[in-house]
Amino acid sequence: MNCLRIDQIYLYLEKELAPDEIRAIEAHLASCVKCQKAVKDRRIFQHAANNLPKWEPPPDFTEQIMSQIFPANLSLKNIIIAIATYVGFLFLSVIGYFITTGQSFSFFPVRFLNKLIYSGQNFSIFVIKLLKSIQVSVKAILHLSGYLLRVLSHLTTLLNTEVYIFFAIFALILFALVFLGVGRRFLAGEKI
Amino acid sequence: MTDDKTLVEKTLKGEKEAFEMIIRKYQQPLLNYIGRMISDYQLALDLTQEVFVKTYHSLHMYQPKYKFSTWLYKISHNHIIDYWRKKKVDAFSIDQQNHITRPPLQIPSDEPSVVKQLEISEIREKIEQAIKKLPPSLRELFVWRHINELSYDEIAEIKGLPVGTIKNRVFQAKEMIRSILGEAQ
Repeated sequence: MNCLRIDQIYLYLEKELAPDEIRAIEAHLASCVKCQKAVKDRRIFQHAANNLPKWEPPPDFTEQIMSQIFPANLSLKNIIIAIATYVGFLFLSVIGYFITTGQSFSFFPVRFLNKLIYSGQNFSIFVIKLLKSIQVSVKAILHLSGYLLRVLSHLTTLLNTEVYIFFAIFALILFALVFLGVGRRFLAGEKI
Repeated sequence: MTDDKTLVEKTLKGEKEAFEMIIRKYQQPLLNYIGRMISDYQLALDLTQEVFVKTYHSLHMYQPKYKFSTWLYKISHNHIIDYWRKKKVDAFSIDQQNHITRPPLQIPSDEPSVVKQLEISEIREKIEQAIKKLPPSLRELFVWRHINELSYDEIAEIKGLPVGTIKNRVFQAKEMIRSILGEAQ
């Protein structure tokens, strides 16, 4: 047998050869120093390559990935648990209040109902007051509009026709500027 | 342990825990593959996460006739190429072989030992450094074979190439690393 090829050495080291090929190679190696050296060198190299240190992910890596794929959302179960916790906490707080203040718990429902009725009354009064103030405001606006109209009608008797025409032209120009968008840009200080 | 195909089926039926098991099984191999390809631990963590997210959303396209692990490595391979493309790195070199100089098939008569008088830990350290200097296409094959411990058949399935071709390229990669080790001495 001739000297080994490099691919044969690797196949031999990785046990990827048929038994008769292995026997032939081993027979050659027994008598060839050059091939012995080449195989030995590659065996050490192969051993080192097979045992390279592995990179470790952080301990919570799986959880990080899972939270990316399945972001935490409020399920019905979680909502029920949250409400139950809140109610439980409220109940314990009420009991705690009565225990620490020494008040009789038996009057609590009556007192609570009284408070509720009192709050309801207060709220109704507030709504009525709000409606009244709206009514007064509307009346004031109507009065003011009436005065304005009267002032304008007095002005019409004082001003002559030229002034009317001037105001009409001015109003038309202003209208045109606004609707062509020029007025908006000009007022905003932008470059035309 | 539940096999990958069953875990995929369970995941598709809505069992989150099944996909969690897939992550636990493959997070380290993928981190090592991606990490060795891009030589950056933090970035490798990010890309590994992205690969799992991508895998989860593509799970309905998985064909059980292929091994799940090879499909996962294929997704990772494509993800690395996408990352290099975004970074304007020569992403195509990972699939090109033409530029690689073939090492001699025969043992040179005056071949020096590249591992002589070195501790195994020193050799490992030198191999780690040499991996970074390999062309991406050979680096990938070396990592799959020696770090991920994939069989030649599995690598051939991922790359869609004949097993013989894969073996020769892995040997090329090893010889190239050996020559880098020899240069460093």
